Amino acid sequence: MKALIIDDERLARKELASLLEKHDGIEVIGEAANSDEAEVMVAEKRPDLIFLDINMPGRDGFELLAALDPAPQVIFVTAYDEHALRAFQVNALDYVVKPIDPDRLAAALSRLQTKHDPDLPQREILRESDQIFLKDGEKCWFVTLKDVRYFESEGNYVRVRFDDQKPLVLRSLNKLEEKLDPLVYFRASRKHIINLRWVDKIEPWFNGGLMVKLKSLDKNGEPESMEVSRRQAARFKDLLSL
Amino acid sequence: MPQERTSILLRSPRTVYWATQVVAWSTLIVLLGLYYYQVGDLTADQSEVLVLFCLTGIGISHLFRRVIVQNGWLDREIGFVLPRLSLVALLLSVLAFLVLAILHDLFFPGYDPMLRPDPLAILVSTINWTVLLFVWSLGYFAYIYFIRSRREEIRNLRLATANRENQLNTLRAQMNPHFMFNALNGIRALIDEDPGQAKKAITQLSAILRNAMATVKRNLVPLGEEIDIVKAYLELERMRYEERLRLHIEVPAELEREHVPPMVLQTLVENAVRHGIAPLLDGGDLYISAYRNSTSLILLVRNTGHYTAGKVKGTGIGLRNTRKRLEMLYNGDAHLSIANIDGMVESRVELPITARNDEQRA
Repeated sequence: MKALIIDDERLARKELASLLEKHDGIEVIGEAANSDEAEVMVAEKRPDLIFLDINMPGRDGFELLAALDPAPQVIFVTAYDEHALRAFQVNALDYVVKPIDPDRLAAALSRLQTKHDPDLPQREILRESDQIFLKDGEKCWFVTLKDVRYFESEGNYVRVRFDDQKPLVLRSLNKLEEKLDPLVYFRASRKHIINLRWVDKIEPWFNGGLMVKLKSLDKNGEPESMEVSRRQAARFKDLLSL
Repeated sequence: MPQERTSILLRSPRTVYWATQVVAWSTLIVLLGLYYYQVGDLTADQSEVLVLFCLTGIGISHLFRRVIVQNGWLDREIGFVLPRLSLVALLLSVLAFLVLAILHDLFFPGYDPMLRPDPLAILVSTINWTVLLFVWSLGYFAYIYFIRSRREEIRNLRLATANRENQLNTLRAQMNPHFMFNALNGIRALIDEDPGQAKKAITQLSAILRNAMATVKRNLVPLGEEIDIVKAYLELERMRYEERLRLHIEVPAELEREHVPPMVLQTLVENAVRHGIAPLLDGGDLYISAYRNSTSLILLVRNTGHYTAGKVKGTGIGLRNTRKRLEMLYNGDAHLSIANIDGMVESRVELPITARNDEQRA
């Protein structure tokens, strides 16, 4: 696996690199001292794995990760940060603490998905199996796209619906639409992008629009449903008839 | 409960004073009235005279209070004050007698006049007034001393509480886990890269830990000691930030024996590093300096960056705590300010050079 180390402290990078020498499966392909450097390196070198410090000058580790789509696999490396650790514990993101315990590092590495995506460097489109990183306030999620039922626009923010979670993240629905696989994610209206795998029923609606009912239930026990605008309805039918 | 009473006493001394005056003098005339009643001498005019007596007493004793307060006798030795109190009590007693007699004769022309050439009556009355006023002044002094001692006690309690709080904060700050673990992580890497440097770093870390344990119990430490700890701390931060942290320390050797509260400089330096320089991609400069003028010792910490009050999480506690300690140690004569000056953040602490400070230096 190709790995990138992102930490603002040279000694900390060196320490981690020397610990990783013992792991044959991991090849350190670069080191970045801040989020800007890291973003460029991720785009160029497409690592499978990043080791990410949270406290860094400029954008912190979370902000960097939220900017990476698709997000590579991540192991957070942090000295001590109560807020961050709480976020990790809630959402089972993997992290190691500094100074790094070699056994703990080995355990984290063994939990990584070993599959390597060979065409990752070429593609810009997010697939169902890709993960995205979401952060809303103190909480963080690493969510696999196929679990997301729909995206809902709220002003400059997007609410992401998966499981029983609905974090609000600063993204634009238009930008998101460009990146998502158009065969799976459909722009139903100005407000929604729906994951077609979750669609259960489709009913005619006013003005030539459609009402889509999902397999999931809302809090009242009714199927979650949303409107497809008239403009999109024709495209929607085409897509489904394929 | 005593505690409640204390809080009322401290809250509005003026109200308490007047209430005490009225209650005390009223009680006195009621007692006198009872006495007259017992001996079968309480006539209508006696009652009216007693009321006049009460008013005169309040007025004259208030005058006495003004004399005491304006001459600053509350702060003088008891040996200095006692003879003066007796003298003033004597003078005021003559005045009291005259005032009471004139009022009496004016308001109640039908009664026996009080102003009459009866030297014995005048003498007895004056002596009575003198004793009364002297006792009153003793009561007043006792009352003031009581309040002062309560205040002092509360101040000491507050100081003790703040100190304990500060001990905890100091420990927490110096053992700031983020700093500690990062330092240890850096040392781990240094062991391979530069064992000598690694050894040095461990010594510095030890110094910081030892200092955290030791200084928490002290109110003042020599500036030199404080600077040593700040330097040890900064060396460790330099290990992490390397060329991103540029240090400029200029503290004249002759100031090293001045006394400062422990951790004040350290708190400012830590804030400067953590909130000023650490977030900057290219790092920044940190200047530490100190100088003395005729009245104060001034500590200056300047760093690259921009300060916005309340913007950064976590700066508030250290600063608030430091301000509280300064307030209590120096009774408001020490100042801490943070400002943006010439594109840098300047933290400035001004400590008065007290007799105590000079004593300790000597």
